[in-house]
Amino acid sequence: MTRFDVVVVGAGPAGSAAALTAAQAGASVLLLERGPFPGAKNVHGGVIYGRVLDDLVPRWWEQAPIQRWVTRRSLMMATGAQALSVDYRNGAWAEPPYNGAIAYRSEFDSWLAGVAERAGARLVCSTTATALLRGPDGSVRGVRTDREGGEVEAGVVIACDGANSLLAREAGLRPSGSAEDFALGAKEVLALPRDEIDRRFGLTGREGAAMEVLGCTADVPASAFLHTALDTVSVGVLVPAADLARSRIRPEELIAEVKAHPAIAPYLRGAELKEYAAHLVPDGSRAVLPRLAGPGILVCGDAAGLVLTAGPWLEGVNFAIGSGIAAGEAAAAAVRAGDTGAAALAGYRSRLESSFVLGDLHRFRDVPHLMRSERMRRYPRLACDAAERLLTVDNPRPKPGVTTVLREVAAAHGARMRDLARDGWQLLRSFG
Amino acid sequence: MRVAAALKLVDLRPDVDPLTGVVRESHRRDAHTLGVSPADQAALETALRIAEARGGEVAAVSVGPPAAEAVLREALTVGAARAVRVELPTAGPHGSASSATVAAALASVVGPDGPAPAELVVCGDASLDRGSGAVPAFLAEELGAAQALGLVAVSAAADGAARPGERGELHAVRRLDRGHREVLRVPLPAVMSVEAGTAELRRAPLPALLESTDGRVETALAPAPRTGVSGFPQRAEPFRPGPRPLPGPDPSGDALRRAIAVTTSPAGRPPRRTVAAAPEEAAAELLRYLRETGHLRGG
Amino acid sequence: MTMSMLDRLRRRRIRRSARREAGARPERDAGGRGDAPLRPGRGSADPAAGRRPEWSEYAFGDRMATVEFRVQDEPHIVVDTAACQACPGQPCVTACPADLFTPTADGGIVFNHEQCFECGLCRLVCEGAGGDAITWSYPRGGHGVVLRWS
Repeated sequence: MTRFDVVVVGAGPAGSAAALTAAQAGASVLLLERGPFPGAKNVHGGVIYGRVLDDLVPRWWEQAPIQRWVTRRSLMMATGAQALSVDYRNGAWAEPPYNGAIAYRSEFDSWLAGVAERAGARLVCSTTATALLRGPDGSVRGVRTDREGGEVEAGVVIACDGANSLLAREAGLRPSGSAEDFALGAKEVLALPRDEIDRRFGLTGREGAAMEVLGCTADVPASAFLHTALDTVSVGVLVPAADLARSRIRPEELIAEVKAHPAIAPYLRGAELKEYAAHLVPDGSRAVLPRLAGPGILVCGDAAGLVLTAGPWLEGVNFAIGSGIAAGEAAAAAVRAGDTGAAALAGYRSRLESSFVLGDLHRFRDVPHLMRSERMRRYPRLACDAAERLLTVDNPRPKPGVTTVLREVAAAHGARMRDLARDGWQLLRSFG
Repeated sequence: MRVAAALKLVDLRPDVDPLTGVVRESHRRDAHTLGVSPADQAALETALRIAEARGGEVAAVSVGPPAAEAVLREALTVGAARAVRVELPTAGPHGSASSATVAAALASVVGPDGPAPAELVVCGDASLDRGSGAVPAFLAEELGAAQALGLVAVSAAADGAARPGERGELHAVRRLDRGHREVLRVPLPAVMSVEAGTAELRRAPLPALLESTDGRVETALAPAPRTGVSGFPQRAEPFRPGPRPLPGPDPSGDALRRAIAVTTSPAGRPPRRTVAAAPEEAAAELLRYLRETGHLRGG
Repeated sequence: MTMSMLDRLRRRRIRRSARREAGARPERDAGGRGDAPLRPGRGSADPAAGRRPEWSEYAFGDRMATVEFRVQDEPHIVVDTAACQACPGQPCVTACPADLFTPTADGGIVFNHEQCFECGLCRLVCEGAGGDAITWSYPRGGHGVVLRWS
């Protein structure tokens, strides 16, 4: 049987980062990918925060296949025909070291896997890992793939096999998963000429826009996003799986609803659909984080539920890369020390705890649940209604005072000023 | 028995305008779209099965740019013994060379004097990118071999077994119109082309994938084209038959009848005609007919 | 637009509404937004009122045609239609982003694996509804959905 020090399952950002780190540390690494190329099965919101790569791939921004650099972030609260936006722009984000990058996963993931390959990892695509191989003591000793002669022995298996994480589940590291712990991301990629995108979103050169939209899907607590690539715009929704099932609304109808909003439709008019896609997103911070390591196995990225879905922050790729780096280091160290037991691999979790990965997820652990609560879901409408009252010139009637407007609007939404203050304080606290 | 499989690197996901059929370049993603067609995969599998059944090895051959080495390396992992990439001496965009040029380039490799001589060459029936399926026919002509084109089944077994001193023959099935099938006895040497459904390409075993294929793809340079013409300009639009005159509706009918006449297909098929003539005359007659119906342009 | 396209859209629309009626969808049309708070703004449009377009701008088949699927012969997901007959809500029917679960006249489900995004949502909502009808796995390596723009 073939043997590698480290077998990484899944060549997404977590897997490639793990393979790259372990290979750089001198381990022999096999990187398995079930798609015909890395990124073929992957969907993301659109933005990658790449600073986590700074140490691993110096000057990564010069080689990574990036479409645009985010220089405009906006958070839109939308309801009915109204929309209230906080629009932030920063020209400095268009220069190194940049802040957010908009990229296609088919290109980005292939690039990162290529970096791992050049560092010595062996990439094998079109190969699904179907089961774990166990030693007599129950510890993980390798993986079985769906190819002839496809059993591979490993010092450490790093499971980066995505949100469904069949391997982590098989290893008993994750419960079977319930609809409450996941959201469905569904998106459309729409083509427009590049200069048309520049004009509509107010961009030049490689500048890009990332917009989050709250409240524009009436029946479900979905958040929506809009991201610009060079000559496409991706528009999509992130909707809790349980709410989607309960509402009996189809995912593409939610996207249609977002696209039809009068504040969003002008951005997308006349665009041509290039691809429709959907994927599960772990709603990690709400669920109890699963065990991340067992004897001979580590779990990273989406497979470990390491995704931040907290209000304006929708981050996954950087968390995947961060956890992959930590796993690669821990695995290489364990292999070097000749001990790949659970205790030896426990260093993985402590590495994550001292980094942003578990730090951020812990800090914002209450946010996703709070943002989705019935109480908080009234705020986009409340804010829009308050803005309407304040900005509608109702002459000859005199203008109402701000406090009056707030009180009246809150009352109409079944709340008192006291509730607003309490919710505001709680929101602030949950954001740490 | 030496078998060759001819593979062509093509764009598997061209961006085709749904309204006009024009292949667009404006919103193209060329990442990971190159590969071989299902028919070429079936050709490789057929070649492997025949070589296994009759004892022998397979050479995978591709006329194409250096990027074509990726598909040849894949052929090595599923069991091809050799892989040869043929470079055309004249530069031009990939896919722009004429069928005759490509066939000559293939023949220079798989012919008796070439680096990978083969008694049997298996091709896909037509490439996906504007393919006319003519390369196998030209190749058979180049090699002086029998041709069996557009097959739906090839029997790999060594039936019709070769008597000593004979090269034997293969049995194959070809699709005809109206669900008919034609069973062919193909003498060797031969060139075959197979449809995509003929066989599903096997998956490479993992150990073969882990083996390095570095340096195993050979390169050959095709001889200069005899005609001096190596390619034709790519069509900027998909092929459509030229216009041909259709009789107008009977002017004496009322408006409804005339409308029906122009919006429905003419009743009945054109009368069938059987021409009994010498081969040259029959060919001339066929050409004349194709021009008349707009399928062939020019004189 | 050809007749067949219109036809397809219409049939789809009919199927949708039939599906909505069949599923225990909360009565949102009768009582307005039900649990939603009152709407104070005078000029604002009612968000429940017809913002969702009557017709999607793409027929669903055209939408799915934008995605490449390298179809595997055997299905990687198997649905036990007998178990589905006992399921009251059949949430998979509306939740599946590729619309691969079709209710049958006898109350079961027909599943078509060919255009599967491999997202795993069906398994979650099936278990969420207390069901155990879906045997879920990934297709063989190299098969299934291939995304390029996402």
